[in-house]
Amino acid sequence: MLRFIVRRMLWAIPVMIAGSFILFVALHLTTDPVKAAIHHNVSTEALIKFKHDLGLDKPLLEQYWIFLTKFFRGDFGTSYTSGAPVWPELRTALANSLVLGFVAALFYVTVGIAIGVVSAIRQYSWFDNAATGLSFFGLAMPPFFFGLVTIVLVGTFYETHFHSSTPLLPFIGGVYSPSTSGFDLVDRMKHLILPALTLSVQEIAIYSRYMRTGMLETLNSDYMRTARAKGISERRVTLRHGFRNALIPLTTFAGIDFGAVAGGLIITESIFGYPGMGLYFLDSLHNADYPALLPWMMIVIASVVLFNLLADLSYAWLDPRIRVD
Amino acid sequence: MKNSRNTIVRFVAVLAALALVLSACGSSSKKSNGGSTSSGPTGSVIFGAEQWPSCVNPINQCANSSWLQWLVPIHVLPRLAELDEKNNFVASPLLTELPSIDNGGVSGSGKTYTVTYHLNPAAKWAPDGTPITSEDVKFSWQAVLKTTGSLSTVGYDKISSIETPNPQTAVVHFTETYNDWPDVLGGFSGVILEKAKFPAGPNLGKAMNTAINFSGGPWTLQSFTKDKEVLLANTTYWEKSRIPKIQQVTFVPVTETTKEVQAIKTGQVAAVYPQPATDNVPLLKDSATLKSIFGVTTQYENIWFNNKPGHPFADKNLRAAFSFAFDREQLLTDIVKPFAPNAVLNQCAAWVPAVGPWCENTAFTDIKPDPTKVDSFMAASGYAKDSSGIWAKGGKQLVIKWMVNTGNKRRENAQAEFIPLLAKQGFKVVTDNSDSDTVFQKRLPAGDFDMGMYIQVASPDPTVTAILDTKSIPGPANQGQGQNDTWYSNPAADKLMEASDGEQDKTKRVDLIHQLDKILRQDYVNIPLLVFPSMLSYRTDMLTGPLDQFINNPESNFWNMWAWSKK
Repeated sequence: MLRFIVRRMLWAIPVMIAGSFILFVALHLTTDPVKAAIHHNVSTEALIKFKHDLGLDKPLLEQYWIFLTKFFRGDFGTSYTSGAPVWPELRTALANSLVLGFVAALFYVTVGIAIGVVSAIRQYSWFDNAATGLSFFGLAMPPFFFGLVTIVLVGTFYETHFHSSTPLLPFIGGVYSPSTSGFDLVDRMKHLILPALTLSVQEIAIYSRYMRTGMLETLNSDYMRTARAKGISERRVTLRHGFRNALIPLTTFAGIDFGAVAGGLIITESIFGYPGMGLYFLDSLHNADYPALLPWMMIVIASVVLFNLLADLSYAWLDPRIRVD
Repeated sequence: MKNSRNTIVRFVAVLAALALVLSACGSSSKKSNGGSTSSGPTGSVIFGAEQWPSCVNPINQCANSSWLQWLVPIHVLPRLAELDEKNNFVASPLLTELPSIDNGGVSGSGKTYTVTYHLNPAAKWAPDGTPITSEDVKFSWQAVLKTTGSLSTVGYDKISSIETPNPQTAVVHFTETYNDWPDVLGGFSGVILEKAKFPAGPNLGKAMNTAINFSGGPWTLQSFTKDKEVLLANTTYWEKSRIPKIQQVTFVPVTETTKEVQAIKTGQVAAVYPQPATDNVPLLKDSATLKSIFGVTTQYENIWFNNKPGHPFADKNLRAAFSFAFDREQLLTDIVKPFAPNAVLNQCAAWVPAVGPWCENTAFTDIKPDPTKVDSFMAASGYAKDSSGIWAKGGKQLVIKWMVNTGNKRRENAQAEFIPLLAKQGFKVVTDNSDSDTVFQKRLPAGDFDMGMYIQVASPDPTVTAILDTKSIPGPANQGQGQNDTWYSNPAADKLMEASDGEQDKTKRVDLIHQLDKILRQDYVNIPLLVFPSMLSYRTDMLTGPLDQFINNPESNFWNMWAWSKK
């Protein structure tokens, strides 16, 4: 087991290097920090000085090598835009995205799995039919559209139809209301509701469909019939044997899904002005800020590798027949 | 079964605890100290900002956003010269008067060109109360030159030295006559910094990332994060008429149009300053609690022709013919007026009527549809219409690529409407669009376009040398960094640009610029379209005061929010 984990972690290093190099080259081909800096008449001399100050006049490979060696020494670099170290801002963005990701995941995994289980147990019932219809509706609902609809619903729609002078839920201010000072758990949670809902609408649909399919396959398998023949109660058969085995295919999807959280939830964060990894990425990309983007990429790759590893390990926990080493 | 359930419960508990811990360390909100206890300014308001800068340093790349200027420096940091509501340079409260030739503040020429500033003795930094001195002026100049990644050293690099004979006098020596001196340490983006706060010296590349802990303006910056900016009234400001009436102003990012509209309509914010567009103007109509006011910005949008050899518009006759084929008035009516009802056509190549006397606003008035001229100019260049009615030469159809940045609905709508209209006149125009970054950072500098529709900014100083002079065409001489992206070149225009840049007499300079505008018109350098409109929407139940005073100003309406009151 330990050897498996170490081997997988070591594999992450070349993946990170390759990923960051591809990003570096792609950025270099499509953006230019010097030109991104221009918004009015700037002298040629100033631009040349700017390029030199930031080391952009060095050969491309040398620029990348400088970044890479510093990164592996724990120096995440300095932003071209702000001149400030990249890590503090990246750390805050990562934490914010993880909070949103975890809260949303808790919600959509729980609801999605619950719907999937009930749908499978009561196949072709009115609940199953309704869940199936709604899941297609959810799958077809793009987050950017749903996010904006929720803002209108809790905003002018709620005020007009419920004769209120304030919106039902806050939708400005990022993680807190503008008037909040310091840590306020209630306000923080209120600000998570709309982004988490926006993230969840498609995910619930996906998880419920996966779970329903997995449960149906398991419920009709031979070992389930054996378990029932042994006289084990239907509830125990379903939850102990069916549910656990149905989770295995879902685990693969969840591993990839959770891993992507560190990359930020670009659309949702952008709509709600939520200062996470997605917004960080967009801002840095807009400024062609390589030093800010490359560590972002490293974290995303590391996260995807880590969560895939966790998914692999969880197979063993869910199905003792699977041995990871 | 029980073990499994317990494991799940423990897992959920761990996740919840982790979320709580992360939420405590992840948020970027800062603790408030409650602000000033002065009995003067009262109340608190929240405004929305369409864009959010990464940081607040007014010198390095953070300043590469108009919104940074509108959010921080104009409220917190003093300047030497400032702009009045008609965009003329005037003395800021930091000066006793604006230097001029008449009052002896501007003297000499060439290497003896000197500007002498007299600082207001009452000017003091907050919160420490120390005077703002000529040493601060000198330090600010050095900071612009020595800061790593300084956004723009234009003008600052033409200063040879700054003398400080006494704390209230700064004598600025230039290496050559420099007419745009008011933009140095003043104007829209120039600032004065408190030298004592930077003991490490003038390289401020890593300073002022999220805080400016001193103020020489009507407001002090209490905090700046990714979520919000809090400004408090500077009750010790020496210019008493500019001490704010509101105690606290909070800006929050509302970068998405629907959210911005909802935020103002539900009273979450008291004012927004959006770019007017067809998707927000109809939603922000005046109502019982909402009012929208319109003005013009200093941004003008033209169709720019690429004169680079090998591109079709290197041919002046083709530029002329196309100019007389394009119906500017129809574009204004169909594309612009739906969101800017009062918009009018700009008639200058690179200036706008609202900024100084530089735009006579007559040079391009004759550029209107004229099929006879189109035929005549095309024939003069050897073009004839082929069997499909398209202009062709040597058996090859003329194909013009029209570049705009994808996602800009206004420009894309213009393409959709005008490409078929131009086809009827024999011009085969095709869209050739890319995303914003590619357009502005790659294709324009590389001259990789036939014609482009985009915005330029008119500064109070009328120089256009950087964007139209032959020497500014990207090439080895300027290490490819020149900004004359249209490759326009005319020795007569170069001469006028050079003469205008060195002319101190404003009347003569105005005349030179007007002559230059006429040459640009004769060369069909571009098709001027419009001066971009500005817009402020505010809650009438929350705000009152002279909210429209600076509607035409590059510093935005927020510039004079010291005079606004909370209802």
